[in-house]
Amino acid sequence: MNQRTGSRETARGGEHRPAPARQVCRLLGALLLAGIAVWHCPPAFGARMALLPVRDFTGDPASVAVLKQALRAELSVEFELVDSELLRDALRRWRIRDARSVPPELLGRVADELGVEWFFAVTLHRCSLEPLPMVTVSGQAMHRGEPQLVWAGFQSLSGMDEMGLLGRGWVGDLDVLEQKAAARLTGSFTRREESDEDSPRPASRVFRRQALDIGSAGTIAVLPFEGATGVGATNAGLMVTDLAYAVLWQGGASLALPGAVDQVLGQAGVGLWGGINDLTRSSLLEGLDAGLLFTGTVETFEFIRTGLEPEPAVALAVRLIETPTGRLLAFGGTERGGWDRQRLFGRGRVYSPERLAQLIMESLVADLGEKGGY
Amino acid sequence: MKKRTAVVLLLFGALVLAGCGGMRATRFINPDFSFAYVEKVAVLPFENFATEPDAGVRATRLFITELLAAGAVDVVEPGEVEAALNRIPGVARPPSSEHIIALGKSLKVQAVMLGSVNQSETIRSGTVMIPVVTLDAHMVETETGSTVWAVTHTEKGAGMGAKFLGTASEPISETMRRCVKKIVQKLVG
Repeated sequence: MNQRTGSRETARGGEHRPAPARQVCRLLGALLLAGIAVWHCPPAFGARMALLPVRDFTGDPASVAVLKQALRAELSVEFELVDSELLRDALRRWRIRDARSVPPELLGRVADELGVEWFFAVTLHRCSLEPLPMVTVSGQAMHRGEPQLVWAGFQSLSGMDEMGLLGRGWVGDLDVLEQKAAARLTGSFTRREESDEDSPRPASRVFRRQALDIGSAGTIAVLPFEGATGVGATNAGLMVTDLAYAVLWQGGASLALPGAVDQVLGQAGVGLWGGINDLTRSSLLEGLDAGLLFTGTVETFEFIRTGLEPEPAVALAVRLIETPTGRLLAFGGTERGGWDRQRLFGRGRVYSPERLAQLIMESLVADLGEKGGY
Repeated sequence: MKKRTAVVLLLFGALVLAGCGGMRATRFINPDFSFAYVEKVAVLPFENFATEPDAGVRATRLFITELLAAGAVDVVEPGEVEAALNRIPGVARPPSSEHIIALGKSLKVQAVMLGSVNQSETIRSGTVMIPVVTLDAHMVETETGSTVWAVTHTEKGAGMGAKFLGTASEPISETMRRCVKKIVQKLVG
């Protein structure tokens, strides 16, 4: 027998054509790959996009203006951006204050009026010089007619991230950091830049009933994280919620639109952090077809060391809930200081609490898919 | 000579193990209660009497994780517990027996776990910093609202290395994790 044709088909009688079942499998595989490629492919060049007003948690209009300008400069390379004044007038007409949290139907009407395909929403979480120059932004992209979030990203930079010997590489100018953050955020959206993975992820402790592939788990609704940090709890909760969107999206999850989640919670008469009862769960299941809920708590979000080189400390807890039954599928959390994994000469230190939260969240989400129990 | 070295090494090992630990736990168990009857529990947020502001939240989270990981009982989703507590008018922390009975009916649980962080701090002993955590936990059954199990446990986090060689002690979060683990082991073990 010819060694090269010694396959099962040949042994059965010289049949070289693949069996119908195998052909179907191949076809399904090709369709799956094509689906993944479409899902992760960069948006079409020249498509019309509305850059929504930057949501500002810093109270600094000058920083917002710089970020907006940087985002427009980056996005206009690949998109045809709608004029800011036209967009502002449209949002006023539809009485939309926070465009990110509007229901998808209303966003669809705005899209029709402006003739846009894409919406790009950015939140400025931090832009401060004290204790270090730091900028944190998150972004989300929505596509007209798409019931799920198309993209979510998160970037946190500090002036010391790229500091080398004798203070070389130190960035003290917030405008520079904002421009860099805008470039990285839009870059990860258009797939020109991948996120850097230089810092090791902390070990986390997550109990899970079974290993879960979040990429094939159906629609996940991210509910607002609770802030239990005392000072700045609300902002920490909102920031980590945006971070959860970004990390879950990176993991391939199909995410319900934040505006749709807000709408369902509002209709169910549930506040942001009023707990999840069976009514809320059934509303989320019926309204969004979300089979899983992802939420958690920000336990610590602070600087434990101050001075020239401050050290942040962050503790997060997450939980994954089965929507129809309310059963906890995964539960856990971890805590970490910014210098816990430092190497020689202080390399590997994390200075930004938001970046530290990102590493922790990546570790927790990765744990959901690990085989074996806690 | 070899024997003497082995004895010295054994003694040193015992000392190292003895350095990292805590006091013997104080425990109460209601002998008339059948714990096999408990299939699902609700863990209420732990009270925090410690100076560390986030100790209560962390202890609650660790307790739920360890209970789930032990596999002996199922735990109600904490958001549902919060929602149920919000629905009961005038509920205090810790809740009264009547409120616990109402909570049991609302959440369909056989028992409620309550607890508090009595101490969570790093104390100085000479030049050494020692993390100390004391937790109190009790289980109340939801038919009559009576306590069926209670434990108080203290855990210290400085090993011999820290005590004699001045090396860094473990983080206090690790001490708390061990303290919670030992409490849960006493419950399900």
